[in-house]
Amino acid sequence: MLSDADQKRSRIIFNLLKEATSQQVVREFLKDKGIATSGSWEVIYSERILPALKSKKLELVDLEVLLREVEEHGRQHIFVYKCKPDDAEKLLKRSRIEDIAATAGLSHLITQPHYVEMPDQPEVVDIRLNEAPNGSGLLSLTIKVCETRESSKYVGDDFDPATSRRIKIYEIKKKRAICIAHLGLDGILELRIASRDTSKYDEQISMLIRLVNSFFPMDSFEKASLSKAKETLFNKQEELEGQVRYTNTTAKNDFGVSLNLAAFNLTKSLMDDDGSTSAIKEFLAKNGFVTGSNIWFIIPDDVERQIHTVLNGEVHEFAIPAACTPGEYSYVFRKILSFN
Amino acid sequence: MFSEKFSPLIDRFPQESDALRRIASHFEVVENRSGVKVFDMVFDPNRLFDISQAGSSARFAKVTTILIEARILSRKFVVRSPLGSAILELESWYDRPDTIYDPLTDRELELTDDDLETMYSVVPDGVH
Repeated sequence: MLSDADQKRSRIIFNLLKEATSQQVVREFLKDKGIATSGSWEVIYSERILPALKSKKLELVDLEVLLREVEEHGRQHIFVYKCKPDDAEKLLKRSRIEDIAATAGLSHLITQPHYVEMPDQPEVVDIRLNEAPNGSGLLSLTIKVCETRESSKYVGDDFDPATSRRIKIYEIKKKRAICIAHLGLDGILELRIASRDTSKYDEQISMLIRLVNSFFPMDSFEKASLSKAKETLFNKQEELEGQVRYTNTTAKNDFGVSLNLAAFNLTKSLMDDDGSTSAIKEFLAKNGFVTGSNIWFIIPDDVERQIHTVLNGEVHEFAIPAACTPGEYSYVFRKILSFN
Repeated sequence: MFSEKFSPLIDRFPQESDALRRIASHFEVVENRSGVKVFDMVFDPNRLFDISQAGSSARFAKVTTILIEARILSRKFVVRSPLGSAILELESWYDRPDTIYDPLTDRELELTDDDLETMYSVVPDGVH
């Protein structure tokens, strides 16, 4: 049997899944569990998921894990910071984290995430402590923040003959957005901000820092510049063939001259064109530096699966514009760090 | 040598001296190679952050303030044409017009705050 509280909870999680992902992803998930997958969103919930929960073919925690996977990885701008591993170890003491959570009235989130659709104010909804299997302590801490964002969508314009003025009309839409702060024992702190429709993330970074600063005191961290990774990824193009594909590279020099190379479309690779590659190499050889790239990490054993990554913006920023799995995110992030 | 302008600052600001020394050394390399072209140098904040290895935003802000007050660098805001070149330079963020004519594409562009780029350029010495 499924208690009323759990049934209510399953409905909320399902609604969040509907917002965060496609039917295809939910169907794949159900198929893996041996559950029928056909029907509309409503049929999927009431005739597939709910009976499976009641018969224990599916656990509520399975739905929670799916939601975590689909809304926490990809469609994000990631800002990378670092501290000394010794400091990270101190920050990741379980007792310290529990004390901070208790002081902030958030202890309940360590055992059970809070599911909220569109909060009035940004709020911490999950505090996850990843214990080492051998019981030696925490490997990482993840804090999830949910916020409601407003975005403007252009819907048309209106001409007023009396004033001879054309007025653009925007519809204001609200949507749920997830931000993640994650610190590992290696001292790498990721602030992952759900993508928005402008290139500036200062406001979102400040909001996230304000909410997680007691767990991750930012004066202990420095920005981890990714400039070396940008440079290395360009310089090792030949070596990385089959692992990385390049569709766009921008470079500058200290006199303000810039060079922008773009492949014909997103399926092509800059490496297929000798002339442009030689041109940028010559530019870089004379004290130019790579400022940004659009690259595609090819997932090992699945060449069809390529994760679009934008290395641009702030020195410690990169973006993964499309949704991806936790494994794919981890692969891309580790690759970038290894080149840095 | 232009890079010698940094020496008194390195002595005066011990907490920022490492970052200032790295920027001075970068200028010295360019000056040795390109001479007076050093006065044409411009940096966006990312580039200057990387050269200085300032680490935190707070320290970087302090370093840039020192260089601006010493009249080594000046800060300005630029608007670029979609073709890449700067077509407008502003002293203040608040001076941004709503639209600007782009002679490179021969069309009027609408501007938002996102179109403004912060740049640091070398202050001329009165000769160059």
